[in-house]
Amino acid sequence: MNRLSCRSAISAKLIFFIEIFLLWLFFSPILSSASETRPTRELIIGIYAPHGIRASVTQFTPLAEQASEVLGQPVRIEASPDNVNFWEKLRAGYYALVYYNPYQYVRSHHDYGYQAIARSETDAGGLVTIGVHVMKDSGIESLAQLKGRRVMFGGHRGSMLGYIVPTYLMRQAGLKAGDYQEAFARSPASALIATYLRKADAAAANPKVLDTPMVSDICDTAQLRQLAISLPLANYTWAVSPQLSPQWVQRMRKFLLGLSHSRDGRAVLKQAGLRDIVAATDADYLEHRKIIKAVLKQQY
Amino acid sequence: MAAVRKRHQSFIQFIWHNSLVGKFVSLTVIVVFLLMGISAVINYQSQKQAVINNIQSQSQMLGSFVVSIAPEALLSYDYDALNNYMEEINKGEDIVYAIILSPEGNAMTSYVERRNQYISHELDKLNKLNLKQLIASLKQNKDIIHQSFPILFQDKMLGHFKLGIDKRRIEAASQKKLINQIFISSILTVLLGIGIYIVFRTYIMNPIKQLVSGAQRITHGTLDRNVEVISSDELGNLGRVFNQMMDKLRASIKDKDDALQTVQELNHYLEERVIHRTRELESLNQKLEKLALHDSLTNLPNRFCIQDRLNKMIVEARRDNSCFTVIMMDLDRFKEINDTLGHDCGDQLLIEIGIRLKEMLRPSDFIGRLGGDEFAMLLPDTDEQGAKFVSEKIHHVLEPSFYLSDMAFSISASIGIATYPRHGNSTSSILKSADVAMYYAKNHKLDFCVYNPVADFNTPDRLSLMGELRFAIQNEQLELYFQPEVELSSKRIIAVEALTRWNHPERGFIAPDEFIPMAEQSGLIRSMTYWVIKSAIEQAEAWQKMGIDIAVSVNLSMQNLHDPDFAMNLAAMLNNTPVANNQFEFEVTESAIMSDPDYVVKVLDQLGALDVSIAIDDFGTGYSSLSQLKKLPVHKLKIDKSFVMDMAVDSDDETIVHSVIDMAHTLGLTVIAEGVENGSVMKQLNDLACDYIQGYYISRPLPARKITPLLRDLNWGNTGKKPGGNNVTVIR
Repeated sequence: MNRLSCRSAISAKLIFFIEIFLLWLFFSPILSSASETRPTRELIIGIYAPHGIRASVTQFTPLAEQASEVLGQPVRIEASPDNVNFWEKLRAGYYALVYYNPYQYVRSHHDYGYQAIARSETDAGGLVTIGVHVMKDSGIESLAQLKGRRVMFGGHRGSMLGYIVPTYLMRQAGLKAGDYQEAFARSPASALIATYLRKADAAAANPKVLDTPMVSDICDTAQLRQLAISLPLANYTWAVSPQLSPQWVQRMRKFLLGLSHSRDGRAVLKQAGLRDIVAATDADYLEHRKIIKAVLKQQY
Repeated sequence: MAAVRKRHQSFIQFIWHNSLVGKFVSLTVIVVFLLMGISAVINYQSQKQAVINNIQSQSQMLGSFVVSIAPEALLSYDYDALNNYMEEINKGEDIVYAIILSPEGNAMTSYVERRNQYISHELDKLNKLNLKQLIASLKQNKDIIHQSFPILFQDKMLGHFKLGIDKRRIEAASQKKLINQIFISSILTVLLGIGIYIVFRTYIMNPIKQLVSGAQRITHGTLDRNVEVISSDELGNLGRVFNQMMDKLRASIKDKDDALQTVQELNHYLEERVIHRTRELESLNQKLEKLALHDSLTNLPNRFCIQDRLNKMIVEARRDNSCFTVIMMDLDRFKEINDTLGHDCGDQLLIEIGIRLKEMLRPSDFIGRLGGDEFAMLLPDTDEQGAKFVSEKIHHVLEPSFYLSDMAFSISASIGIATYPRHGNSTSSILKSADVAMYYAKNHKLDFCVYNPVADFNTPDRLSLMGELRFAIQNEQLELYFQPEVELSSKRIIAVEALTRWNHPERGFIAPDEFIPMAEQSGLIRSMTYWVIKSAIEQAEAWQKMGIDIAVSVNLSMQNLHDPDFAMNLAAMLNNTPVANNQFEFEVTESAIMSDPDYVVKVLDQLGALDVSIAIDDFGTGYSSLSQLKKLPVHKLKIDKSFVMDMAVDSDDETIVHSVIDMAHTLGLTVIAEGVENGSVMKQLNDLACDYIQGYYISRPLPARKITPLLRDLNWGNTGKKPGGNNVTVIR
């Protein structure tokens, strides 16, 4: 009797524990997702690399390491040129955090729901202006005189500040596509150098670029004249994937904005070639959308 | 710092000069160092060239690469890419600049290595970076290798790639490598030196040290062990030869030692012989010195010693301003004793006298024998009175009889005294003075006599007088006086004695006792005697012509007797006169005869052969013996007046006179007594059967003119008149 009663008691306890184990297996994912919408895989930061993947990876790897440490989640950098693959990954939400130019942001926001949380400030300033420069001895004193001339842009046709904004200035000056010959250099600095070396008649570039060693060491910038300049505009943007939970978005924003507040963070910024990362919202890109629409005829 | 350098130099010099291994190792190290240095320099140069070649090669590769990729960037205006290229290139440690220039020479890249020393230096000089100027300035720098590569695209010049490489680091690395190489080489050289040193020391220096040690042992005369031969090479052979040499040397030294020992033994023997002979010589010298300075008979100091002592005493007295006295003593009648009893007795007498005198004198006094029977005594700190006292003591100690040949003898002495400095201030002068005084005492029968310059013929006054005497003889200033001799039995004058008188024109009458001894001493007595003989002959001729037949007696001196021509000259003089030779008589003093009896006998024989008469004058003073008298060819004895004058009151003198008369008569001789001064003596002589008398009682000597009248009446007794009478002053 006792033996039977003992056996039944043990069996009952065993059954009880099995039932508890099965319940934990069933409810544990639910409990987990309910407590925090955290990525189930490592966080990938997508970096637009107009000047080469290697350079970008070198610049931002410390930031990823710092993020991984702060966020307690593996963080990895993936640099990419502006190509189909890059946009496919944006579409797929592959990047938890992405760093690219304003035109790319505006497009991704429109097409895939990416949200701007911060923007970078470089030594060239927080908000960037774009000017059109010519050699003083060229006799060109206004944008209108560029008609029929060769204008050198830094970057490519998708570059917000390298092409879209200066084209916007040309349009405002009454010049239409085809009124002048478009040429592209690797960067605004190269465009300025090419103009200085008489490879073009005008160059579009942030005026601050004139003070960079690459330009000032080669060119006598006093011989350049600025014909027009744009309004100050936000430049490169930090945006998060729409798939990221609000908590993580908040943690990401907090991480980025807090870099300049610590010594290690400042080192990370310096390595990335940035002066600071400040808060940004999608509203900061309204002017960009307007310019894009005027130049590219695209509505975002 | 200089001292340290110097000490190092001294150390190096010491090593160089004193250490073969040091020299060898030093030379080896120097040669190795030189070779390694040359090798290092060559290596350095080749490495430097290799470095330059390598740099040029690398820069060539780099340039080719840039030239190949640059056109794409240039054509796409990708100055960023070009800058990136240049940045990458400039990351090379030695790249100073890497710049792409346009065909127009404008820089298309801006990157330069600003950390480079030369770049920063040039940039500091430039207000603004001007790459063109920068490159131009850097081209002056020899440390930078400049390369230029054209960038072409489809034969179109796109630009130039300029590359500057600083070769200093590579050169420094090369130099460091070289230094390391030199350091390692130095260590290897030092190790090589140490190895050489160890090998050299073990296999060369140790055998050499063994040889040196062996040589040093030879130098120090230690040949106890051979050199250890530790190798069979040339040094081993040298060691074996060295040992053979040592063996031979050892044997040679042993032979030498044996010979040396023999020589030493011989030397020792010779030294002992020399010492022995030296002692003998010293003894002989002492003996010789004693013989030289002492009289062998009396063992008293001899003349030389006396003179030496006298010299010292003069020095001391002169120094102390003191005086001393010299006593010279001569024994009376010593010759007679010698002749009578023999020389042995005489010698014994001298010894005894010496002993008595020495015992009598004070310890500080000095006595010596001058020779013969003469003694000298030196009395320090003694004056004339003290000397007289000592002289009396001498006579006193001589009073006791001396016993010789079992017979007792009495002896007297004549003593002369001279004091320093009164009577002489030199050895010779004071001895002479004492001698003069002594002879004066002897001649005058005095116990002693203190030197009196008057009696000294050698005084300047006397010498002057001697010259005057010579003049007097030559110029016949002398005059003959004649004293008669009377025969007692007949009272007749039978002869006259010719006596010389000198009436000096200035000095007046000079007594014979004064100038006769002077003549004898000076030798003038010879010429004087000849003058007397000549004058006596002349006077005798004169008297003969006057009919006066009388003998003339002339005194001869000792010097006449020693004149070998005297007899011949006398004969010649006598031959020239008509007066018979037997009318002449020659008187010779007993002392003259006794001075050399044998010789005098021969001379007297010669005179006797001339048929002249010979008389012995002053008989009784010369100690002549009877046997000697018998040998003499004499005819008459003249008794010395010293016996005759006192015979009236002195029985001894009377006895002597009596004995002499008897002895003479026994020998067949006639006797004449001198010094008869009164009648009682004459009577005594007459009683004693004396043959003749002479004296003042009869007549004093008279010149020829005065005595001639007397001679006309030869009978003195008959006239009852005394020739000299009371008018004559008796001279004694």
